[in-house]
Amino acid sequence: MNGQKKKDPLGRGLGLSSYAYAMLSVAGVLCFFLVWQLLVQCGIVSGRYLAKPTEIVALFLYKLVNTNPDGSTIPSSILSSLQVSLVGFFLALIVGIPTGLLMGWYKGFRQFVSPVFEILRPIPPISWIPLTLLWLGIGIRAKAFIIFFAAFIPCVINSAAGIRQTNQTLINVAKTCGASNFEIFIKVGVPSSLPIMFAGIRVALGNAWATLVAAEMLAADSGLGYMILMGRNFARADIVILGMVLIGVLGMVFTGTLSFIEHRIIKWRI
Amino acid sequence: MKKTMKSLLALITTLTLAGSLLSGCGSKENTNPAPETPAPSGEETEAPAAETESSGGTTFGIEPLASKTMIDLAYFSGAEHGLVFYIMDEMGWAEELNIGFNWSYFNAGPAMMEANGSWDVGTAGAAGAVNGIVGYDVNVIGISQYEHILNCFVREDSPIYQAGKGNATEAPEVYGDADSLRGTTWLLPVGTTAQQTLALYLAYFGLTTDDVTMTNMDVGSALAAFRAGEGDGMILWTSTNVTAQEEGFKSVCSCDDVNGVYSTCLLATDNALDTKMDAMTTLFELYFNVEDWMMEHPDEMAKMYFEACEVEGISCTETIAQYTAEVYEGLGIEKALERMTTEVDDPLGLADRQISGGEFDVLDTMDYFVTLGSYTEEDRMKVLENNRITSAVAEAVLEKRQ
Repeated sequence: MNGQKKKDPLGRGLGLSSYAYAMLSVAGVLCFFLVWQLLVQCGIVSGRYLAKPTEIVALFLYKLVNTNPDGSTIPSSILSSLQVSLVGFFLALIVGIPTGLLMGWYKGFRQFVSPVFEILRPIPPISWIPLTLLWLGIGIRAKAFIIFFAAFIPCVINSAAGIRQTNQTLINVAKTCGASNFEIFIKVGVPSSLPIMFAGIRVALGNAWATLVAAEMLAADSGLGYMILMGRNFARADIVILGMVLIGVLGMVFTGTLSFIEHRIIKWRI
Repeated sequence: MKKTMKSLLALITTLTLAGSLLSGCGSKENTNPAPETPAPSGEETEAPAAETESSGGTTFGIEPLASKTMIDLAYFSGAEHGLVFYIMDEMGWAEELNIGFNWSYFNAGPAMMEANGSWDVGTAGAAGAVNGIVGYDVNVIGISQYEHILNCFVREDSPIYQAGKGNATEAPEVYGDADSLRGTTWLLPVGTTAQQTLALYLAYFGLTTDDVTMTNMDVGSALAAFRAGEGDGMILWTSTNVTAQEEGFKSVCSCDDVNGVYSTCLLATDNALDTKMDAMTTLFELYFNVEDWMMEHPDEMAKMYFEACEVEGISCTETIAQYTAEVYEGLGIEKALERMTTEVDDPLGLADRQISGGEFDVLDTMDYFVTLGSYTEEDRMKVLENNRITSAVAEAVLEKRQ
């Protein structure tokens, strides 16, 4: 398939090969960095407040093995952040998806849980920090809880929405075949909710990663969020930008990985 | 039945709405107690003025500005160096000199420095000031005070406290020994003078910060977490420090024990020095005269500190305020002028000139972070070359006096 031209039935796009489209994406990224480099190089934006991409790359290489100025190398910062964000994210999946599915399928459960969920939903994850400190201390549990809260909401909402959109015809067929309500829930409802559920998981992953800095504001001695905070403390805009870029790039890698998994799991959708 | 339910629902909704409207109206005044430019009452202005009035016709004999000048103020909440502005405003002394303030509130140095485009004058601790003079268009124009309320705390049953005093020959007052300190976890704002204090404390026992775990937290969160049983020690300043003492936590080392020069700084932006130099000069004089007043009137200072904390939502009690006033050590006008204009040797011998006392004080903190690699020697040289710790305002005051 790779490299072949794909015709869009609606006539959208340029009719290029998939390879050419991939190159367009790469060109987009390069253009972004080129414009950034030129803005600083030409003095349109002060280099004091915005480091050049080339400087960020040099700093990245330096910090692969050096701890200055924040006290950690990049690999240890990434590991520390991954630990926190993935624990929070997977907890959100484990708790949020079943909750959402049950809310979407069983009206009684929905009526019971919805009011509390609707109260919790608009609360910003960062506002949990003071209470988290008291309840869970300052270790990984506390930081993971902040991230859990950020990722939990989209998991619930999308799982519930996904299962509620189950095709009634499929449900009727299952009923005709004598399936119980629970069997229909498991064998029809859950699979048909997967596309929307995955969209929620993607949002949850983005939220989890984006809340990292807030979680590491709670208390930290390493991590990408901590690196950004230390960059602020020492007026190092380049360190702040490097931390942001790393969070962005790793987020992109996660999203790509998730898309890959999604395509493998719900191949039948296409 | 349905009709009754509907009527009841309508009644509840109406009452709820009315209630929320009323509470909304009521709370507006209460939740916004800090005025944009607080206008002090005439009574408040006259009482202290009569007490301290000098021959110049104004409270401290300072010549008022020709016309009203508004100064964008970066106000550091809950800190004594910020309190000076609160007092000069509340007492009417700023207004008397034709100075008005547009207030912006901050509780951390880095955020204040990042917002330097929005203010003319502010105050911060030495670490915050170094952030500003290295990374932004900020200048230190005076040394505001020397801090004394900065302590390392542990619990009473901590092995550090139990190890007792006298184990460090250079500092017989500090508690602990190498064994009790090694491997402990400390809650503190990393990258500040709190970290410097911990490093100097550990150095008495041949240890470094690599021998302990430092968890970065602001002082309020550190106290809350420590109460909840986290960490082996914490480092606190200002009102949280006194609260910790009141709650029975034990100080094992203070900033005085480690002989650090913990200065706080009066800051001005490039823009303010370029466009409002007259106002800067007058404000400098007023600021340090108010410091003298504060040291001469500790009871009034305590009262004002308590009030300011209440207005800003900072946790404080009258006892804390009284203690804060008792240990307060501002420079006052004469010392402030002298500190910025007296020349001393660069302790590291890197400068190609003599440096001012003010530069010495700020570099004391900066040099510690240079040794950690947080700043570079190049940063240090740039600070000196660009005169980021400038005596220009102090000299202008001296010139005005002649």
